[in-house]
Amino acid sequence: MTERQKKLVAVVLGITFLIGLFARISLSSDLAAIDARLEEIRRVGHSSEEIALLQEEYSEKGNVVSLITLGLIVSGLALLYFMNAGLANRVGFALLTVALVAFITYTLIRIMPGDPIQQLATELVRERGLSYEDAVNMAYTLLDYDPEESFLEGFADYMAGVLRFEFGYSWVYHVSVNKIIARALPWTLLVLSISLMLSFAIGILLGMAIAWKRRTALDPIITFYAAFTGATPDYVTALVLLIVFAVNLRWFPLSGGYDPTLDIGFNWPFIASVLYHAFLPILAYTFENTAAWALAMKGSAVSTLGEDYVMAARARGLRDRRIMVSYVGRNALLPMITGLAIALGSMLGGSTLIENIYNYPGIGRFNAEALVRRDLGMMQGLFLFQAMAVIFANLMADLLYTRLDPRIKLED
Amino acid sequence: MTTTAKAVRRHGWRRWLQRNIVEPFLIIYRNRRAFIGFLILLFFVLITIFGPMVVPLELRTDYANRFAPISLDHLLGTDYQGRDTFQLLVHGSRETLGIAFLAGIFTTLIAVVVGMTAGLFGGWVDRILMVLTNAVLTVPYLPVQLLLGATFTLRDPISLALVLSIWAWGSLARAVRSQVLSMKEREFIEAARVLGLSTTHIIFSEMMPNIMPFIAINFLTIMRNAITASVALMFLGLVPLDPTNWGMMLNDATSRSGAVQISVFNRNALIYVAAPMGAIVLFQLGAVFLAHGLDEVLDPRLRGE
Amino acid sequence: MALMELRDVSMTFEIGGGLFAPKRYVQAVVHANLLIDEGDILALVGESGCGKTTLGRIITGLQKPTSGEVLFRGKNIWKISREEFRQYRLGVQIVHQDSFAALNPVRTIFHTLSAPMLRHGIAKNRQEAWEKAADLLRTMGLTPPEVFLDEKYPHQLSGGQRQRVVLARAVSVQPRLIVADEPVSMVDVSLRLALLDLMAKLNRELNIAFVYITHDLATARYFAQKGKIAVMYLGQIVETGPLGKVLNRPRHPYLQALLTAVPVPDPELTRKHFELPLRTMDMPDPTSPPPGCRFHTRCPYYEPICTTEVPVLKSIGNGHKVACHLEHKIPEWQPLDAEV
Ligand SMILES: Nc1ncnc2c1ncn2[C@@H]1O[C@H](COP(=O)(O)OP(=O)(O)OP(=O)(O)O)[C@@H](O)[C@H]1O
Ligand code: SF4
Ligand SMILES: [Mg+2]
Repeated sequence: MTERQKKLVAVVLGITFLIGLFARISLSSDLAAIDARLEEIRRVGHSSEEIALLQEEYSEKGNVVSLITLGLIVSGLALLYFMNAGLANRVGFALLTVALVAFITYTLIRIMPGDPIQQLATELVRERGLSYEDAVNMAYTLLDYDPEESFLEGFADYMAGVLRFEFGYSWVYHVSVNKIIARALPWTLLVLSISLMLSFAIGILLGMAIAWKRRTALDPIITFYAAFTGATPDYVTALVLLIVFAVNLRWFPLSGGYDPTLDIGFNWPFIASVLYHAFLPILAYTFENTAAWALAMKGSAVSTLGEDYVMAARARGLRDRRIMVSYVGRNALLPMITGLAIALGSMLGGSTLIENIYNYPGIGRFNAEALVRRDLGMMQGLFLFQAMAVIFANLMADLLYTRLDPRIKLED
Repeated sequence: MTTTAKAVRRHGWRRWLQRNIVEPFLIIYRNRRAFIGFLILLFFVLITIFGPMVVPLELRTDYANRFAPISLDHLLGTDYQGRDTFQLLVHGSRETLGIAFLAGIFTTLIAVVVGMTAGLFGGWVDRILMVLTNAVLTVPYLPVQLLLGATFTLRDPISLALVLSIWAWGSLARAVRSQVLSMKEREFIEAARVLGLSTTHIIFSEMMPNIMPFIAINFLTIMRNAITASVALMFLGLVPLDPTNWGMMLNDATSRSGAVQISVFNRNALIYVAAPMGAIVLFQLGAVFLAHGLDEVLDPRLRGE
Repeated sequence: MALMELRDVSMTFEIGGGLFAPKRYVQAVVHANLLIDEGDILALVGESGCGKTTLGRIITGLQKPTSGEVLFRGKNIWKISREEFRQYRLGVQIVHQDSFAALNPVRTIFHTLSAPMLRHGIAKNRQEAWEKAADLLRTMGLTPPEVFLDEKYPHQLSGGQRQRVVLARAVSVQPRLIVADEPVSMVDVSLRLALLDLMAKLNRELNIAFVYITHDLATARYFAQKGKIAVMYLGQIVETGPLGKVLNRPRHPYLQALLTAVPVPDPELTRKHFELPLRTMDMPDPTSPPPGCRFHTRCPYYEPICTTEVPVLKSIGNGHKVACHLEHKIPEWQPLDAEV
């Protein structure tokens, strides 16, 4: 292809992309309106016809939105490919991973032993006093489940939902999983981001310290600390902290994200209460993760110390502190960036148990509840969401790293 | 040629013992950390094998005797039903460690097969397997295991071990692949090909022995992760296994029995809560020490005198 | 019928070639013809990167050439039956430069030596393998063999001993030809001659043919005294023939330059050097070799024809062949001990 043709294709792609984006935005407000009505009826509804009708309308419009989104992704990817092939490769791979994970969750829904319809119907009979037959119908509509559907058709439907970022329907709470995520995510983000920053900062400093001054008492202590936290599952740490500081010493609350008697809002007592409640979870995560950062940083810094430019700086008689900060620190820090995404992933994975232990109102606690109560919809929705979040974080870390490290080119 | 005949015989089992038992042991013995880890793991192995024969298990409930303190009768006190905590731990070790061991075997098998296939075949096979491996590596395994554990009703150790393995093989597979790739280019493999040795011989007799120590170290890590995950599953009450299983004990201790709350009034309850945690952490510590120590020993930069 | 014959063999490697980066090609071997008879010795010489190893690997069947035919006893090795290929496989062995890399570090010497013999039924059981391995080691001058077979690992041997083990392994399958790729360049200088003598002995006593790959003309001269030589430049064989004749009367400017660079081992031979100035010491980029004669960028004698026409090997009598347009014009090369 000539340069001219390339440019032409890129422009056409760009225009398509913009039109698609506009269409997608205007359509999704339509969709949201139907969804709001559906939500209302679903929660209290006794007849499944009404629901079915609305659902029909929703899925028709929804499919259009999904198709547009798919188009957006494809044209966006193609556009990216013209600008930077390496970047497009990585984004494409991330999307492929999402698709793979979605395929797995969908397969689980299909091959799952036990009958979710039966389960939900029984619950509906108990909760809303429907006749069993009605309840079964209702269950089918609520789960949007068509027993006649083939595996592939079903998967296409499911993927259409995924493309609209719809994570399914919780039959314990009778709301969409998106609602649950919207409510729970801020709490998890609060705890995880503070813990990640704290453990990263402390770990990096400790790592630099032991890399610079070997043969101090600090080194073996950190090594043992790392071995110990490596050996202790994070939920065990969380449990110990809970038993010691909350149950026995009563310094910290046993559960919750804030004191419900306070006004929710941007006021000092409320913020203080939020931090007070988040203290133990943050402590648990930070205690668990700091040592690993320290060791990784030590390794990275030690290998940087051997580099020529550091040797040269030392030979030039630059002050230790100066070398440490401006030469070693910066260069040794770079490889840590990819670690951030991995750490975030494992912390998010651990949140199911930790937030359950502290009864903290984040994603993890809802996930635990979904697991324990076998709420498949919520379980799979939250899983898909967590997986997507981690895949996204990995992609970001990867791109950031390649941006910052001059030695690595995206093309490969 | 009686001397050579004797020589061949002399190089039989005793040499094998020297090479495969004595020398690895000496390597471990010389590294302090590895040796401590080895002793801890040995302790657990002995308890797992012989413990249940020596220590009887009485599952009678004896409410008069609940949360008893540490004593000669009850080495680690008693639980909320008056059962001896130490007995429970000893008898639970078989299932707990057995599941982890099985999961370790399954995971290692998957990883080695995937990594070897990708490395040996290359091309499209490699590309597809690596996309899969990367996906497995990106999505953290605990959520996957929890999801699978809650979706399927797991009642037996083998299916639990399978669930624990299904998403845990990523990093080992990738490492095995890169080892195979670098070895494939090595000249002794090329020489073996020129000498007309079969592919099976090259894989199992020339390549495998080279990556075995590496796999062994990874096995320890995989087993540790399997314990963490299996206990997590039981802690949430998703997998109802034997009540002596350490995960089940932890679940009992923290939820059903109310021992955590009771500990405020009766400190002895803490012993009961701490016992399964202590056992888990101690075992894991042993595995970490041994793996780190071995890592140090087998580090290519330190090897080869 | 020749033991081994290469007919017009070329090997082109693709390198690079991402999605957008253009593919580049390295012509590692270009239209090479070689003939090796039973018991022959052929020295393959040339600078680093000229394609010696690649040619050696083609002879060993480790690399399939992109064009041309590789014949073993008159049959194209890429078209023969499994059984015939097996015979060829065992018939042509390789000895690598780095003896440490050539031996499996976690396998004993005995395992390394016995596995091929057991596999091919040369030894029926471990005991017979032991005896045969001991005989081989004795032949290689590793005595007493028990010391080396007795649970010894490659890292416990010296470089020279390891290279002898590698030779023993190659010989163990009773080959007709051994391709030795710089077998002595990583061995201690004091041990080189002994190893070359050993290879010469194998050639003499077992009638094994050798392709001796080296960039060192001195060892080539020593080892292939009665054999042939082929000189490569950028993938092309530029001069070939009986070693004595070729080295005494080199006709290609490149070989003349190489010979001038040979360090003189004997201090009594101090003399005025016949300087053959190259136009540049830089090797051209192998991915874009110069057109015409590949040597013209460095050749002191080049003329316009050299930049357009590719010279082919032409016989100048006595089996001596040269690929140079101006062969008739090139001055005679002065031997090292010439009085000036
Ligand atoms: N597998 C390969 N892929 C791409 N290029 C290759 C490959 N093998 C060899 N080459 C290229 O072919 C050319 C010849 O390489 P070869 O190893 O045969 O040279 P050589 O004469 O043996 O050099 P040396 O004396 O350094 O061993 C080099 O330019 C090399 O880069
Ligand atoms: S052909 Fe020309 S350039 Fe090539 S070697 Fe002969 S004289 Fe030199
Ligand atoms: Mg070479």
